[in-house]
Amino acid sequence: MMSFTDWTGLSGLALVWVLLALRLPVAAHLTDLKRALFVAAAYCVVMLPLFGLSLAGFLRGMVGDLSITSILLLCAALFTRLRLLSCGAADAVWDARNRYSLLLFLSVIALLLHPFALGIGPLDPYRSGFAGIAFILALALLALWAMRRNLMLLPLALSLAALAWSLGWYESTNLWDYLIDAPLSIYALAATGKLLLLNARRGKRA
Amino acid sequence: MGKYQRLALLAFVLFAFTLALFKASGWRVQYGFRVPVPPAEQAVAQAKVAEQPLRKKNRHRSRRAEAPIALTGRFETHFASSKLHTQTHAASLVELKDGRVRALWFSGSREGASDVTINSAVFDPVRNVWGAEQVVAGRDSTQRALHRYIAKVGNPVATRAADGTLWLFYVTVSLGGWAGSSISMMTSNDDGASWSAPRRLVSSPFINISTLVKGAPFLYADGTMGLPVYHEFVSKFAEILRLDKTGKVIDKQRLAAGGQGTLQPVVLVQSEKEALVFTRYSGNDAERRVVSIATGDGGRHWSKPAKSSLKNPDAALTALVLPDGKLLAVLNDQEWGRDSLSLQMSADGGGTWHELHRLEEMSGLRNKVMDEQTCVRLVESLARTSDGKLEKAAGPQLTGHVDSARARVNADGGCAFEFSYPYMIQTHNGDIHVVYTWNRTFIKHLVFDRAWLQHRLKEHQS
Repeated sequence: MMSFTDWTGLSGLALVWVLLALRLPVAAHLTDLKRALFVAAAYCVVMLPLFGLSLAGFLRGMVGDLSITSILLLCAALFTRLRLLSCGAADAVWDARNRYSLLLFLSVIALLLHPFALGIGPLDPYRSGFAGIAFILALALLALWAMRRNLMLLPLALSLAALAWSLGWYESTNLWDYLIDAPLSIYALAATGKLLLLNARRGKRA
Repeated sequence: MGKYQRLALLAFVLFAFTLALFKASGWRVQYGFRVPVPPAEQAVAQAKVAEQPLRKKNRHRSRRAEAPIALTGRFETHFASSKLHTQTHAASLVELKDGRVRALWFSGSREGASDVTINSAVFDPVRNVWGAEQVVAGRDSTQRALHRYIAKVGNPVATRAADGTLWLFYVTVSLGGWAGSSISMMTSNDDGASWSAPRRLVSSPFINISTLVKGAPFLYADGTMGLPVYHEFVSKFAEILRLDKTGKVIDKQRLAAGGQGTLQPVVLVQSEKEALVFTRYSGNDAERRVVSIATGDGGRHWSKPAKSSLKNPDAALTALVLPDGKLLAVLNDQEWGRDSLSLQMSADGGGTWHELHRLEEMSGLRNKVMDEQTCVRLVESLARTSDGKLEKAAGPQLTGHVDSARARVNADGGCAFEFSYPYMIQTHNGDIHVVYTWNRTFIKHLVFDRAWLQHRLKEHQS
C-alpha cells in the first residue's frame, strides 16, 4: 500500500519522466488534446511498478524527493508544453526578471546549505529547517519584500514550500527539503553562472 | 500583474506562513536525558547462582577451573549467528520484555552485496541458547516498501522506544558505497516477532545521503529519542538525530565539524544533564585515539571533540554506564588492525581507563608467516573456545564453522583475524551482553554477570 508521501514523492519524479517523454518525436506533432492524453498515459507508465520498481521509484532512489520549487518549475515547463501557460497573469509571474530572481535566491541558499551539510564547519543551517520559527519568519519577510519589489515567482515558491511543509506533503520534516533539492541547486548555480557570464560579456562589449 | 492578483498572492503568502508558524509553534525541543533504569537487585537470583556447581560447558578458557562460580562469576560465550559460509557484520542487541535478548546484524555473500539481509536471533538466558536465525529485512523488501531503488542494506540498530515498542533502524544505500547511505526504520509491537513496513528518515539536504547508524539510541526526558548517527560523504562527522514519539525527525545536532574524523558515536547518559559521547577516530593524525565529546546541560550544547586516552584503529567501539557510574567499554585497544578486543573500565568518567579483560588476542600473529594448516588449526581452536556447542564437536558441525571462518581468515594466504564492531547492553537482571563481528563470519556473543565483573575488578586492583 502506497502512503500519501510516497505518492507525492513519486508523482514529482514522474513529472521528470513525463517531460522527457514529451521530447520524443512521437509527441512532437500531437494535437493539444492528444498531447494531454499522452501526458496522462506517460504518468501512468512511469508510476507503474515493473519487477517491483517503477521508473519514478528508480529515480527516487537516485535523487530523492524533489522540492516544491522544483515541482513548480517542472509544472511550469509541462504547462508551457501543453500550451496552458499563456495567460497574462502567468506571463507576469514567469517573465525573465521573476525567473532570474528565483534562480539567484536558489543559488545563494544552495551555496549556504550544501557545503555546511557536507561538514565544512560545525554549523549546520539544515537544522533550522526543523520548525525553526526564526527561519520561517525570515522566509515570510523575504516573500513580502519580494512582493514589494514586484516579484511574484519567488513569493509563490516560498509560500508553496511553506504550505506543503505545514501539510506534511513529503516524508521529510525539514522545510529546506521543500525549498530546494540537490538537482535544483546544480541547475540554479549553472543557470545563474551562465547569466552572470553573459552579462559580463555584454558589459565588455558595451 | 493586476491589483486583485497581487492581493490574492499576498493572501496566499500570509496564509501559508501563518500555517507554517502555527505548526512550528507546537514543535518544542526540550533538553535533558532520561536516565536508564538501573538493573534490579536480584538477590534471589544471585543466591541461586551461588548454589550452582561450576558448569564446564561454555566455560571461558580464562576462568579458573577450581574457583566456585559465586566467586568468579559467570562469563560465557556463544555464536549468535548460525548461517555458514556467509559474511556477517555490525550486530546490535536489545533486551526483550521477557528478559531474552534479541540480536540483529547483516549477513550476505559479502559486505555491500545485493543479497545482504538484516538477520535476527533471540538468546534465551534460561536455556542459555540462541534461537534460529531469521531474516528481518532485505534489499527487495525494503525497495518495495520504500518505493525507491535500493542497492544494499547494512548496519541495523534496535532499541526500545518510550511507548514500549521496538524500533529498528538500518542503513540502506541506493547510490555508491556506504557514504551514500540513508536510514530506514521499522517498528514492532511484539518484540521483534514481526515488523512494520520500513519508512525513510530524511536527515540531509544533499539527496538525503550519508547518514549512517551504529551506536545505541537513547531517550530524552520528554520521551523523544536520540539516535547517534554519522556522516561519511566528503567529510566525516558525528551527529545526533532526534525523533519524536512517532519516529519523525524533529532535530539534528552536529557533534563535530567535518575533518575531525568522528564516526560511529556512542552516547553514554550519565544523569539528566550529563552525557558523554565516544566516537571512532577516522582522521589522519598519527596518534589514533577515541574522540570524546560531553554535555552538561542535557544535550543543548556539546563540548569540542577531544582525544581520550583510548587507542582506536579507525574501528567502532561500544560503551555503557554502570549503575555505580563507572564506564565500561569494549574496543580494539590498538592503533592499527582489529585483531584484538579489550574490555576496559573507567572509574573517573572516562578520564583514565584500565583493561579488565582481553576478550580476543591475535595481534601477535599479524606479521608472522604461517602455513595454511597451522592457520586452520588456530581457527579451529578459536572456534571451539568461542561456542560451547563446538567445544567437543567433531565432524560436519565443526568443519562447517572452521571452513566458513577460514575463507576469511586465510583469504589472502595469511592468517588475519578480525574482531570488530562490538555492541554492549546491560539487561535488567544486571547481566552484560556483548556481540561483535568474529572474523566477518559469525556474530560472537559474550554474557557476563556483575559477580564476574567484580571479580575482574578485584583481580585488577590486586
